[in-house]
Amino acid sequence: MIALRQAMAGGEQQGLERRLNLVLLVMALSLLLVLGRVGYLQIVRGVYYEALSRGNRIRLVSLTAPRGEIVDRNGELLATTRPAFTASLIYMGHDYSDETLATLEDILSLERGRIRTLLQRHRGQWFRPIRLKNDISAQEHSMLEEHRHQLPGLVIEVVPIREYPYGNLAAHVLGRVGFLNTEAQRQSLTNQAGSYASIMMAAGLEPTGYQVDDIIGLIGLERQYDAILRGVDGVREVEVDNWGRPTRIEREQAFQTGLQLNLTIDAELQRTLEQAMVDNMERIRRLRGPSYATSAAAVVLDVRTGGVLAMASLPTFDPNWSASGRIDPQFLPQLEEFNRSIQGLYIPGSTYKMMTALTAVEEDIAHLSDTVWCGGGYRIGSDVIGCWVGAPGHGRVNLIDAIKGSCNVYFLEMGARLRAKARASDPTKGLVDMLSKYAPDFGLDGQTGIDLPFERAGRSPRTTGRSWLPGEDIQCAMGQSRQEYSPLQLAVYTATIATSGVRYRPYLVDSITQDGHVLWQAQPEVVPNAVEISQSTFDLVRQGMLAVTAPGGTGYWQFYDLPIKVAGKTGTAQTSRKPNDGLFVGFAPYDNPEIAWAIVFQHGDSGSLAGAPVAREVVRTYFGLRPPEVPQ
Amino acid sequence: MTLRRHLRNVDWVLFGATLGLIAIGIVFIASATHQQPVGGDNLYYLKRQVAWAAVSLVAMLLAVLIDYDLILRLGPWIYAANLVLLIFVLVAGTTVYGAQRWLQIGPMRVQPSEFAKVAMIVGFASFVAGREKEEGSGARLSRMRDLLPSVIYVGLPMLLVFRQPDLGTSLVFAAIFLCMLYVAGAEPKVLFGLTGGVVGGAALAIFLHYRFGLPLPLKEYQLRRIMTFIQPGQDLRSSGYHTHQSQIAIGSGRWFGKGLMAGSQNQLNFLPMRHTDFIFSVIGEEAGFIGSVIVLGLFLVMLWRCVLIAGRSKDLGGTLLAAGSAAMIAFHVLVNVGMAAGIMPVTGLPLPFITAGGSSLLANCVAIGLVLNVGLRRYKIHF
Repeated sequence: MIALRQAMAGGEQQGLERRLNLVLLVMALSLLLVLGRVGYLQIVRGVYYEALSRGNRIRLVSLTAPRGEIVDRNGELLATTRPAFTASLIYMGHDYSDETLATLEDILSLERGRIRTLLQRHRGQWFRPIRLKNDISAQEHSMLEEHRHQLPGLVIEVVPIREYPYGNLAAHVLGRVGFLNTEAQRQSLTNQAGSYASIMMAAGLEPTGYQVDDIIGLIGLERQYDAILRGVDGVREVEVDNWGRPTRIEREQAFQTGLQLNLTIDAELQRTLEQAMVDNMERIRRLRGPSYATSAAAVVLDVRTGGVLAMASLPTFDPNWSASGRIDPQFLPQLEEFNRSIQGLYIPGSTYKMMTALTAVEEDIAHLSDTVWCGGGYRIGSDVIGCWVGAPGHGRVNLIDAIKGSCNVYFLEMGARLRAKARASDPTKGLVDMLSKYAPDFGLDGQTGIDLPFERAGRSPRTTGRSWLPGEDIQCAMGQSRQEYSPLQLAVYTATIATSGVRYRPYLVDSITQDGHVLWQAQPEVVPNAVEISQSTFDLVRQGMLAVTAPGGTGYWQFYDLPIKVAGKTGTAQTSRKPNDGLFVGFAPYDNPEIAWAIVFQHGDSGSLAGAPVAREVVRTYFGLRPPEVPQ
Repeated sequence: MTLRRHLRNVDWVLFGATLGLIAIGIVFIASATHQQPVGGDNLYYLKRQVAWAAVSLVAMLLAVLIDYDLILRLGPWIYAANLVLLIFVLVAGTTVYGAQRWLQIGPMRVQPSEFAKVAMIVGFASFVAGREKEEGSGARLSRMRDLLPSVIYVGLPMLLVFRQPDLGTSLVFAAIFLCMLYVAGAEPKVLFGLTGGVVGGAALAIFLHYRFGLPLPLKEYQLRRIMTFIQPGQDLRSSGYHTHQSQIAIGSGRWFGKGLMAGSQNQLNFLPMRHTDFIFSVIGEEAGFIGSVIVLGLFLVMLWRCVLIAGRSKDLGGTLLAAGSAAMIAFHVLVNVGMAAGIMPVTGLPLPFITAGGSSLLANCVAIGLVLNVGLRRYKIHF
């Protein structure tokens, strides 16, 4: 001690002690300050707070943010919200009797024990009202009012509920909302929200987490863009009376409405497409029978951007039915909600022949001057595969004639030649290897990357270690082997032919806006192609597709009277179950393509019967060729 | 014998206060969590805290045994390791509640910023003491440009913690920094000028941003977080409601409290995060004003002994270790209890020794161990 004191200059040590004393004083005063505050709460205001805690009446009421609106490319409203009544239960400091809960469950037609389950689930969160049922009917509302004296803690709140003004219009694109009820959902939504973080920040929305029983998007765009659409709920701190009714608002934080999605969809074209599909479905069943045209899907793309102009799937559903989240999981209409245009996989049939043609020309196997004699059948080994026209066949056909008349023999011959070329260098290879050199560049391999959840994708066939049987292999040439694609994939493939190889990623959301202010704008995205196909090859194939709608072509009767040059291809695919699927792909105008489409009718019998009439209506509407409607 | 003399020189009052606070923590954690079974175990949090207490006491013993001279000599390395760890958290940390503060090590989740505080104290003590030794003692800290190296030295880890983002912990750094420099003899005017400059500058920038749209290098939501920080309890979505409930809990405890495990706020789930950030609300509710006085009194005793040891240290390094530790604990208590009582922003700073959680307990015990160490070796010469 003495040594220390001596070691330091006297003044120095004194200074240190003075400073340390001051430090201690500041610390002591800090502690006294908080102790003073604690004492004030406990002694001066203790009685008040004790009373508050005895029947703790402060509750947090969530102010549900309205979901963002969804509009079509012209601003037409496709999804909005409307106010609705919701029955909630506020914890009143004592347990509920079984009779009370039974009364409530009866009125709201909830299953027995449902409220107990909800109470259990919200344990530790009793300062928040528990939502029992959204969007209660007027009758339920008045019943609840009648029994109010038996139901302490019951409150009726007004919350915004999702509404789709046109019912099932574009239902599969928009999707629907419902309760979040699995951990897997929560996880996937949380991950998805992360990818929109920068947009949320730009909008001044702080992302909030997901909880069980939140109303969320379950499918379609509602699911894909849930983080963007749901907004941020507000919250209100209220004091409630003995009946759970708010008597005083202590504090409040406003909600923030979700952002608006502006789609590439054209509502008018969408309406036309859906109506044409429904009409044609009825027509086919009338002509052929009830086992025909059981379901259908179609996609119309803007070939210049990849934007989806219309997308439909039949059978369909009305997303309004679950908007309040009030659904019975046992009656989920899964069949209807299945979006066939991105989730259904179909054998392409003759619509695949352009792919074979492109490959054959690029591989120097086929030339316009080459002709093949179609006698109505083609022999592979001991089997004979018939051309669809039957005997006596198409006669002598070149490439354009073959596409025009959808001649199987021509394409089987090309398939056989391509197979021979492949095997010349490697005997384990075959036609599929030739095709898979080019097909992936047309979107026929893997997902297209559209901004919708749960996209399924067919793959281009390829040999995996063993060579295919000759028949199996060569039949790929006519799209009638192991190929399966979604209608969206077929539309992207067709659009890529229309643009001579420029393939865009298809997308639905053109921009995200907040009060008219653009936060995010989609940029057409070209998917890089690996293989170059020459312009002349594309020209040749497109000429074939144009011939399809010319006299003698398989689609002539649907398009002969239109002033727009339409290029297309019919497809009639044999599946394991009869009747055949009918497909029609195409683009228009021929000279300067704007739109491309793929239409599939399951069991539609044939492409010209099922797909082409729908395509006709799409073209008429898109190019304004419909006579103006006469007001009645 | 040295051992006996060492034992005699141990500051038993400081040690006792520490043990007392840890014990109080364990009791109230039990009260706060016995109704929240984890994996069917009602005593999960209690058991975990007891285990951590044992580990922490062993760590404290280690911190006492190694001569602090050696520890100070390792200062630069500790500092560097700390920086690396903090960078690692930013890159590979686990995100909880939107902030990247955690590192997953096997089954454990540790919060490196807790240890960063202690590492900071050690590193900075060695840095300042080293500089004083080189340049001779005196008024070398009185000019702004002499302070610059110190500002950079502390600013670097502080910025890394701020990026997590953990505003609370970066403020702890600032408090430690100011206290240590002041004790080391920096000119108070310069220190205040520096603090005032930074705070004023930030306030002006935020004002200009809202008023005239001055661009800031912050995202809108980060800014809002800062505003929430300045206006505690306003943000109902995150913490405003909790603060209110916490005040009701504390206030309703009145003089003697409602008794252990008898607080209605606590037991009825109205208190949020009650075994961690809001543990003081449980103490206030169940042990009343008397209990609050005892807890804060124990902290005061602890701080008094730390400052006493700082004054008696044989060298500046020891003084700074003790003063820095005191500053860290004092700041935590002020902010945490202040938050529970509704006069401080909600920052997520734990109540030292009491809040459930291993990282914080371990780090604080090591800090107290270092202070005890300084007290133990206060005599320069071997006599």
